[in-house]
Amino acid sequence: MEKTSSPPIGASSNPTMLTVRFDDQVVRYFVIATVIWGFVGMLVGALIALQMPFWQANLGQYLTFGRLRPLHTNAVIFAFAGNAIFAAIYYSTQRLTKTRMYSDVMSRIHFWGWQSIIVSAAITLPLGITTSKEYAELEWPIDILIAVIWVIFAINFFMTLKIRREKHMYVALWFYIATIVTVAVLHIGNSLAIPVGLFKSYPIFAGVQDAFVQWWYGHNAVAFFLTTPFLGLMYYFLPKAAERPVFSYRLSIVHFWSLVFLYIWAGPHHLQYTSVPEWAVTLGMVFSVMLWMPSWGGMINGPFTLRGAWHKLRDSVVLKMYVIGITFYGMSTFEGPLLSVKTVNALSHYTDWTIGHVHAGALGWNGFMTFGMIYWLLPKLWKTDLWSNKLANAHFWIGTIGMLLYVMAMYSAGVTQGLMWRAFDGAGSLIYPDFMETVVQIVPMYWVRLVGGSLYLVGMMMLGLNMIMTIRNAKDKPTDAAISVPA
Amino acid sequence: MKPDKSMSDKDTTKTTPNDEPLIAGHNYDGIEEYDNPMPGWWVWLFVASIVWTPIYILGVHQFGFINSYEDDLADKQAELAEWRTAYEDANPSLDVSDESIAAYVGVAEHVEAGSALFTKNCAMCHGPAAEGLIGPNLTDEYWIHGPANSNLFGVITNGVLEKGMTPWGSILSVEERSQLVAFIRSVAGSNPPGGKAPEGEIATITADAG
Amino acid sequence: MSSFLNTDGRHRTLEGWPLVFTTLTILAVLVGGTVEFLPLVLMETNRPTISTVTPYTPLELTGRDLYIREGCVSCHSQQIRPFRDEIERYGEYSKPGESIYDRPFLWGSKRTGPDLSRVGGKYPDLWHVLHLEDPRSTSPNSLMPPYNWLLSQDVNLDNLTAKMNGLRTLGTPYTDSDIEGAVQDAKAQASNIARTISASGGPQGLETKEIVAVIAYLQRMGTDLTKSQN
Repeated sequence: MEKTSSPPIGASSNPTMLTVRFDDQVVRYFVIATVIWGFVGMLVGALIALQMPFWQANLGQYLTFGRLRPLHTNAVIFAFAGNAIFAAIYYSTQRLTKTRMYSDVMSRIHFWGWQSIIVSAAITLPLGITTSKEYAELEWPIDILIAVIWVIFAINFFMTLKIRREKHMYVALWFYIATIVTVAVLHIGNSLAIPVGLFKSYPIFAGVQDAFVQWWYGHNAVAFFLTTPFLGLMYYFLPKAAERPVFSYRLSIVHFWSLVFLYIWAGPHHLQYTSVPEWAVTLGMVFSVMLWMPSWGGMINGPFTLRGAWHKLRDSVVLKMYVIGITFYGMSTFEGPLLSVKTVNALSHYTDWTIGHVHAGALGWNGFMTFGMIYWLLPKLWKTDLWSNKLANAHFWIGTIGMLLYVMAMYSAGVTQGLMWRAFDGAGSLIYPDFMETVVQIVPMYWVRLVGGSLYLVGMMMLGLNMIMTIRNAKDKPTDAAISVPA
Repeated sequence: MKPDKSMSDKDTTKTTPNDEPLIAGHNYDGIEEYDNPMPGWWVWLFVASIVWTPIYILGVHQFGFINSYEDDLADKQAELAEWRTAYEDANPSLDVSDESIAAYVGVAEHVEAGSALFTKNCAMCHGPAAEGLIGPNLTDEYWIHGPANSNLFGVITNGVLEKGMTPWGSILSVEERSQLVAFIRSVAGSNPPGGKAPEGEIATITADAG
Repeated sequence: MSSFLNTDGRHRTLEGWPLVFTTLTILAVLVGGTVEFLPLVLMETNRPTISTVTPYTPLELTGRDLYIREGCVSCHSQQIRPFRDEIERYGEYSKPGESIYDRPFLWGSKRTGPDLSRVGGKYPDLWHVLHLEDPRSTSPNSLMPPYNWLLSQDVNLDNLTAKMNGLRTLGTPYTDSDIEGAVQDAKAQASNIARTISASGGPQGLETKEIVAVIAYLQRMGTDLTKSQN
């Protein structure tokens, strides 16, 4: 592990002042990991997108769609988005608390532990070692490792709060707190299982109960891994990049508490019209609808913060990325409640509409917020200019076009197939009794999706190139930032 | 002043529009906060969704003025039954008999249509040339469920579930099923390569067997 | 409300107390899950049982775990919704009592291929062999990858005892003799299926292969509801 040249805390020239040096090295690690895993996860995504219309792309036993799909989802959620939120948390928490992270050792255990979890996932999932529960496919030994690493991260974070030099916690920290405690609860709750072998376990709940627990987890993984930490990220990095005050403190308070309280209830909307009792699903639906405005609270506080700074978008690829990211957040969090409504869900569920919905959120919100953050961080962390602004702008456009193609293709495929499944002719017979007819119809859309996804992947590669060249242009050992605080 | 009015504010000299109160003491790594009120439309939509919640829950699960799953299904099934009755009234069910099917047998256009239907729906189990695969050989003189046109039509319509034969009655129309019989008659004795061993009982049939 | 939201109100005080703030956050997130989940566990009416639904046989259980290994659930749901078109297409809609032995549940969330909850008995065993070996031989235009290794790899029955013991701990009513005779039972069911396959003109010698376990599971699916009670 590289050591930074200056001691974490030392005497400054002014005897009454103390120099606090931040641990930016761990942030650099997380940024690099984000870009690498983002590329890998999206590459696997492009491969499985190809496997849909072109079955020959299933390359033998270990590389079929069934085994690679969980690898794609785990890689983009936990490796790409995961490393991105850790970078955001480690960078911003130190600055918002005016202190170095509590323990450099814990930070590094967190980093390397997390990467080893990702590598284990990349090995075990193609081997067919899976629980089959979505976004919780990893088997019990890896689950235990995740719990341990998460607890170390939590201790490091909360001890940093304890030793903070800023009396009050800024709204970004509230969202980080919610993320850290809730992900722990969700992970443990959904991983309760008894091992029946080194790589095989059975969950303690069965059938309806297992389904409920899975989607309590699955929905809130979206909430507390892909939403709250990214809202925290937005609250720090957007006003920093725009150099504008946050629009409304009151709105922050109300939308934070309503969001964390309401989100948890919405899980059963993933189980509409299944064997789960209807009262539970009704609760899932009404809470999803109530969640609409709390979600939009973040969508308001973001862009409204840019009031009077919109002209800055012309020159700042970072702000452009944030605006697209927050716009997609607003669209997805409107679409989410919409899809939870029973009559809409009846059409959309089990179709590609759902795939379109999650990718609007993942590519638009998580992806673009991450890209914006990285383009802002690269020059700061490596103390040099970004290698190419032009390339970053190209990334912005190719990414935007790519994801628009992607989601449009999926919406069209989903609605088409959903309508075909339910179509009856005048004689009261199914018009498409042969399932295959409804598949053949949407295959062209799968090709469009592949094109869109590939464009997005190319954008990711542009970011990779920009990062590599920026780092190469940097001085040999970038120094960590420091501030002076009263002794 | 309403917050959204300044959305288009292009004034770059001011970092703080002077009509909005910045909160003193809220400064985190240079990030400051306004004490703006929450937008009215936001508050009211939120309140509306909260008010709607108990109405919806009670409507579905207590007072029944909103359909539950079962209500919905019952309504839709009743509607489907109505369609079917109406259709049957308008199209009195064709009297299917050996003779009615015989009218299809040997007619080139029907045999051709039957052949296309066979390739799409039947070849997967009976083989592309009806030589038999999972299902029995249809080109020989042996029949498990009887040799008559109506016997074949009946098996196609109702299936033989215990052996894996799909019932096609709700999928293919009477005409299509008759065309399939016509096709099967047309391949009688064609003796395709790889034919499956005979199953059932022997019965010689002629082109217009009755 | 205003004393709470004021710039120097109670929330401002809370922002200086991370421990209290964190505790309140945990409470806020625990409410929803608890209120929804406890009735599902505690109230019998929320999980009605069906007397004809029985635990999986050892071979079916093995097949189910292979279904999990191959990620079939990525593309095939096992949940028929109470819609007239789904009842028409797939059969009677799924009942809560049908999945009480499903650990994990395999309802799925996407239908790239058709729902499989009532696929049991719909096709002959040989159809499944041909379909899994080369999906397009039985279903032209299918997008499904071939699973030819299921025909060549030996099925692993070594861990059956551990698996069934584990499930019994969790509440699946396997008896001692069920578990002791598990391997025997699995082999008997496997050779029955293999015999049917070869008798209908399919390949010989599949009784030790993974595919018979998968077929045993597929042929079981959704059949409990209509089977007669013994």
